[in-house]
Amino acid sequence: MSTAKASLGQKRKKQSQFLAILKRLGRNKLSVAGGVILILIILAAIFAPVLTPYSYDTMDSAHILEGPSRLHICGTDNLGRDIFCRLLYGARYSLALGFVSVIVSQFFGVIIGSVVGYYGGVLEDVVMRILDVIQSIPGTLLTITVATVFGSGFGNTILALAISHIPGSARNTRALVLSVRKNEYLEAADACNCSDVRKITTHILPNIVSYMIVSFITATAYTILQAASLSYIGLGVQPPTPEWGALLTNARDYMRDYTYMLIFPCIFIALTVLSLNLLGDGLRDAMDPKMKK
Amino acid sequence: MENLIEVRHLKKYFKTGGGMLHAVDDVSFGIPRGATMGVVGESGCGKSTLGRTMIHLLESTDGQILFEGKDVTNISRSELHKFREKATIIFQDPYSSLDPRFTVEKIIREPLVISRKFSKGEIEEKVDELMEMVGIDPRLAMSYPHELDGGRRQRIGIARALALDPKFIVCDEPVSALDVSIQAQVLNLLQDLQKSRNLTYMFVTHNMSVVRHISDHICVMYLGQLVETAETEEVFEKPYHPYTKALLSAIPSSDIHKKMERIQMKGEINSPIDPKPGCRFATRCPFATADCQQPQGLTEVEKGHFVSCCRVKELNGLS
Repeated sequence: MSTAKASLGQKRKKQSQFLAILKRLGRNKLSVAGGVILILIILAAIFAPVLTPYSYDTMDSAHILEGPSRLHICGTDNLGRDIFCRLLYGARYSLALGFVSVIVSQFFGVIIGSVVGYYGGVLEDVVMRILDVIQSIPGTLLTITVATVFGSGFGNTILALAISHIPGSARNTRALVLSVRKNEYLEAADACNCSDVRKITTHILPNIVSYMIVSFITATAYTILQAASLSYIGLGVQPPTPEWGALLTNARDYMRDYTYMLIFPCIFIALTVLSLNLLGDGLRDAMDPKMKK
Repeated sequence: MENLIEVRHLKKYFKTGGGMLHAVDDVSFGIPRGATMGVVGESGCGKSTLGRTMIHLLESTDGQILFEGKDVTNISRSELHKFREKATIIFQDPYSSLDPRFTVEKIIREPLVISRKFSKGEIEEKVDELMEMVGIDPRLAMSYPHELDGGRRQRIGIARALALDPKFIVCDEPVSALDVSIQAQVLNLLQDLQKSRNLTYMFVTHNMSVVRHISDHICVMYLGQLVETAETEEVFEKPYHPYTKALLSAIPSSDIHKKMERIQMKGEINSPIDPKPGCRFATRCPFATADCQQPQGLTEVEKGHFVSCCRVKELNGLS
């Protein structure tokens, strides 16, 4: 018996879900690549002042519209600003826009969705119909509407993106909650006096968290695109803030002759979105405890 | 013997689009302390609903539930919590009744943690003890349910049910999802536990051989109603209700020389939604007459043997 106890103790220590997930994620080459690219972009955004000697809003009239060279890796724009520098600083804004607004929208979406999905009834009907009405407006149009109401600027853009994503995230969470609510283990939890809050937080949410993380990451990718398009039409972050969408707006007038102005921001946006999606896919598989391999 | 749990005129209706679904309709019986009541009937007859209603997993529509002599039909939250510590359930499906994200040890620990009665050390001790009691190897403590086979999973469900030392357990078809070889092990475990901890079981199943093996008394249900109840051997030796007879005739026998006389039932099963008064089996019963349209009640045809059929005496030649 004592040996059995000892082995039990050892086993108890060994348990670390997080490490197991990382290990499984490590086997998926594509998502590792996605993760690495994402980390590189985040690091580049953080260490932008170290990586580039320029500042994002210094204009240099002697070097306007110069193509990529040793001095300016990505060339300069119509005001002589270094594009690479603007891209690195821009990453700060674009990533922050994406992550913060998705965190905010998921926070409210998950609360609304899980409560509504768990309790059902009249509450569910009322809330879901309201969300239906909001969702009947196409996503981008909704963001534009909210952005118009709040006005432009960094904070307001986050607000606009977050608000327009709450209905989708609530709906998504509700569907996931419904899919696990009928399981007998929730009845078993009832049978041992588990409170509603405990049921939602320990039984329901952990069982859908892998799906939520995937939707979190893909939503971030989508939101970065949306933020870029908002700035592109002049509603999002305002110049001279070097947000990626703003860079595209700037490049619009010059893209025929100075294509590089358009191409480099596009590469950054595409790489970020792609790496987020790859990472999201890999995480979904890695977080499922039923994945043996 | 004194009844541990008793139900009187218990009803459970569900609201559906088409009307009220009478899942359990006016059921009364009692289970003596330490005994096993087998509840049998075909799929959808309300067996599981009855079990769940008795332990307040579903709220009853009408009727009374008495536990240890006290009325527990409408109880406050705190009383409900106390009641659930004494009356619990083992589920049919060991796949969906265990949270796939919980380790074995965490599943068994949950009721202990929620009850807030034990210190951390006591909980660890109790979990080890419970695992030993139901025969799960300690090395499986950190496994996830999907890594184990059905029998082991069901043992975990049993350990969880036993955690707070209950007195009454509803066994909702606990072996019907298991291989036959494992079924016997789990049934024996349940019987051993019953002896050592003086448990009272309500054993819901559609498997007649299992119910004969494990129960002291049997309730036969048909469409939400009790049609016959008696001691186990009484029911098997002298079934009086036409439905019970048909049910028993469907048990396969391993004796090749025995002649099987299968009573074939004709007609469709009634809808449980807003059923007409009268015998619900009448539409399929070969002996049905106009009298069967009248509401039926359980009558004691022999000592402790109750049947709900207006023609029971003439059909069986009883006085």
